Amino acid sequence: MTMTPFALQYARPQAGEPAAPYAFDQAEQVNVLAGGGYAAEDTALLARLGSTASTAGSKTHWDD
Amino acid sequence: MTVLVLTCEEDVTADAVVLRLRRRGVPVLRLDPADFPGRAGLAVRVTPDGQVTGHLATPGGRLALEEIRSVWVRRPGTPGAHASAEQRAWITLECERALWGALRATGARWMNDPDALERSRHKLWQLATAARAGLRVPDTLVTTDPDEAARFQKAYADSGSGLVVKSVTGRHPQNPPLTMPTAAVPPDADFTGVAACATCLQQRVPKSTDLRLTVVGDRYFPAYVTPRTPTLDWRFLPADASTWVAGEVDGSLRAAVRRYLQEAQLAYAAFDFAIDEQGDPWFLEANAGGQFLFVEIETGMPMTEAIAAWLAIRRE
Repeated sequence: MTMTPFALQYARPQAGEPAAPYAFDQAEQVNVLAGGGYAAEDTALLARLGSTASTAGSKTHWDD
Repeated sequence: MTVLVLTCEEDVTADAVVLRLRRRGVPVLRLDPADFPGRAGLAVRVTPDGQVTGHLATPGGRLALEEIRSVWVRRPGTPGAHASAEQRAWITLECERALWGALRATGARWMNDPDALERSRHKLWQLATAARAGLRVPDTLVTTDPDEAARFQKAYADSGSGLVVKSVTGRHPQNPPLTMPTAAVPPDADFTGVAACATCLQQRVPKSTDLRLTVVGDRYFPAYVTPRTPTLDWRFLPADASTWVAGEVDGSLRAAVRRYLQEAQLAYAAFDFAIDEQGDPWFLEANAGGQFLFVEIETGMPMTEAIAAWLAIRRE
């Protein structure tokens, strides 16, 4: 039987991330909301989605 | 001259800086190295007299290497991500060296320099550097020896403070996907599993609150978790359980942080400090790629503007 690393005893399941109502626009080089406008300027939306939180992107990047 | 932003498409924090730069009239090109080769391309030539010329091409535009004013390393992907499976590792390495080598050869200003960034990812190096800079750091043991871990715990059990366990890298496990918050080590912990992987154990700081100190060049943006409810890892607090409030830090902390950044050769870092019950800061980590917009949204501190202003400076 494989030994579980000590630190992993304290790991938790990863919560799913909500779908973002915006998409990257190549011409604008930023994310644009489905209804128009820049995602980065809708701070209420970003706060709700956690898109800018310290753990955002942690799945693919090293930095929090 | 143009600011080159290296990041993935979903990075809305980078969007905020891109928009700010554009409003300043500063041209920006955004590139995810994961798109190279394929959607993004490169040609670079080094002539016998040392001239470096060439260009980057992305769906967003084309940029001459000599026109790069500064490079912001945000959340870049890895080259070769879209290459065919056959020889992908080799293609990734060839393209990584080509792209990062070309950018290093340009003489552009970096936030942050990739070599400094790589070194600063090592927690043990961070702790030693912070201590040399005059910051208070918690006693930390990284080990694969269960007996060593048990002795370390006994020492801190005797002193009454106990230990926490955290990831050495700060990275979360992905197979299967898990999150790795900082956790208290119980008094009856079985350390057998320490032999299976390097484990980071740290003296538990009797915390009254947390300080997130974001530094952009020579500008300091301190924010404290409020209400000051001690928690081991604020990253995993429910969003409505706390907020960040702009605050102050004293001159001695600023000076020590400045020494750290000088040794680390970083232009940007987000520092995490535990504030103990006497109000003294303990260095936990300095994240050279740390997020900042979530603090700006709550405090109104102009970090986006500070980063844009730093990137907009023309290279000498």
